[in-house]
Amino acid sequence: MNGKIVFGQYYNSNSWIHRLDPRVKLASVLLFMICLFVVENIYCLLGFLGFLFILIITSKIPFVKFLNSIKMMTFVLILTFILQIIFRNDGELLYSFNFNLTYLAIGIMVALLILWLLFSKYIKYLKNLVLIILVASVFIYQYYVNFGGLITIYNIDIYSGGLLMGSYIVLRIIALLLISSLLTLSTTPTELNNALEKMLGFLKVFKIKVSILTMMMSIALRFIPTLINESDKILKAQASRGCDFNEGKFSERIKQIISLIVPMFVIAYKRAYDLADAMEARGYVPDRKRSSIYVLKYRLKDYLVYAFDLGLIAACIFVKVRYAF
Amino acid sequence: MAIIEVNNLTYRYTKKKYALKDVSFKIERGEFVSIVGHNGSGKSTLGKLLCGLLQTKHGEILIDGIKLSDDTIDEVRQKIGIVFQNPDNQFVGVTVKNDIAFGLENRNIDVDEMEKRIKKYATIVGMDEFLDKNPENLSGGQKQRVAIASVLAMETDILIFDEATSMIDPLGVKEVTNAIKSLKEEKTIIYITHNLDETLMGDRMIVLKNGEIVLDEKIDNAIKQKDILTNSNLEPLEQMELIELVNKNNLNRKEEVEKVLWQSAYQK
Repeated sequence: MNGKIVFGQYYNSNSWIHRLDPRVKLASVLLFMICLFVVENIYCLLGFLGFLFILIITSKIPFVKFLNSIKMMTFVLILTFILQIIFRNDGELLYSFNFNLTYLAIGIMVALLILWLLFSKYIKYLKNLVLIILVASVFIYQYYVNFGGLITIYNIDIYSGGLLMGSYIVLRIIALLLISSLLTLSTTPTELNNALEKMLGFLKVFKIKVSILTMMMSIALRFIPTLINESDKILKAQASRGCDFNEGKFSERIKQIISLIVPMFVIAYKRAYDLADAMEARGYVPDRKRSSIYVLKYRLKDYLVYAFDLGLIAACIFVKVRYAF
Repeated sequence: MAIIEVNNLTYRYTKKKYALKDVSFKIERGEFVSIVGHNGSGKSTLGKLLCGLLQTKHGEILIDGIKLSDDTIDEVRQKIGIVFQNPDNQFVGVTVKNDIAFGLENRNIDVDEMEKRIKKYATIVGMDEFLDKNPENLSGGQKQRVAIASVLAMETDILIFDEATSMIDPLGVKEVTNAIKSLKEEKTIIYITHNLDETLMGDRMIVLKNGEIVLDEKIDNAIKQKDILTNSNLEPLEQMELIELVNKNNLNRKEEVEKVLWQSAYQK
């Protein structure tokens, strides 16, 4: 379970990206994200993705790590794509599908739904694929068969604008996921913490205690895998006592989830309490001046990356203004 | 002058129940004192009070002549360090190096000095090859050795080990106790445990029962006080029981000893 979560998991390697100053990485990621939103052209976006793949390859981090972060968002990506295709109607009309909604079709839908609810728990492999096939089969049926008490005829039109925008949004989300994963996989939470503390230092003027905020963030990142491991253990312990989180009525499921949440809260509080003691015993006083084992110092390659970032954002703005992309 | 002086210390978490009741003792510089007691006897509370994590108005604690109070807590913490029971709950850093550095960063120590100390103390506990590793991926014994290095790096005169081996496997216990033994010459050590076997590393034993001291003796005498130890819900040392068995049966020959030992083992 732990291995599936990418966020907050540093992958130790010695690539040029790992060796970059964390401030440069953080600023570059932010600028890259801005660029992704400035440019509204699919070819530019594909260019960005190509560039990202080069970064990923040179980072020496296994690509599976990145795939895991995309996998977590698969449902959102598919849903976004489908909604864009169905509801956007600008551009050229590419396809028009007429569907016959009949009483028989509704009966089949209800029957499939009941079958799914009853037997889905026995499907061990490719469960999501089976669900997609079932949903698709309902529409295929409505497309080809028009008997069984016709209620109405409705149509779904697919326009080039919808297809383009759907692809564009999906690619943009994938690019955002990849770049943020690249940052967290190549930078330790402590480095990120130090970079944030330096970069947000100006907020001290507004009496915002940046060091406390960054320490909180760093500890939260540090404890994500620990708490996930812990929840995994509780899940297994509850399962061994006959608690199945995928079975039962809605109310029963809520009760079962409570049996996970309550011990998780207790453990999290206990850990937080112990950690606070350990930190205090080792002399941590919030907002007091601290040194750092990692001295952040810009080197030539960091300046070069900054220059590249500026060039990139300038190019994006130029393309946007000049060609209205 | 004693490095630790505790006078009439009383602490309670709730109004009715005392965690510590009128506890007084002195510990000399360089001494290795084991504090033992059953669960809830107040030994961990005592450890926390000594390093200022808990505070009480009843009684006083003097560390190296400094009276522990809100004003002196920073000064006292530069003299006393504590290693807790669960190493997982002590890690702040994402790498071993990071974690050892945490306490030094809090003291605003410069990078060169930090690097030196990290290397030195990681080597002492045998973790110098793991500096870039994530503590999460280490074994129980290795994690606790990192926690020890983190406290050692702060170069405090006094070290408290609060049940530091209770959550690790037998091999890990050996690793950790070996690391602690190697510190015996240089530090004043307070070793909190409920395992009497581990107290043999020390010079002296203080037994707590329901928040009160029931025994405070040199280790050689303390381990022989079977009645007090049993009454304090502690398991007497197996070696002491064997000696008692041999003496009781007046055994001289090897075969006789073996026979009685096996009989005793089966009876258990």
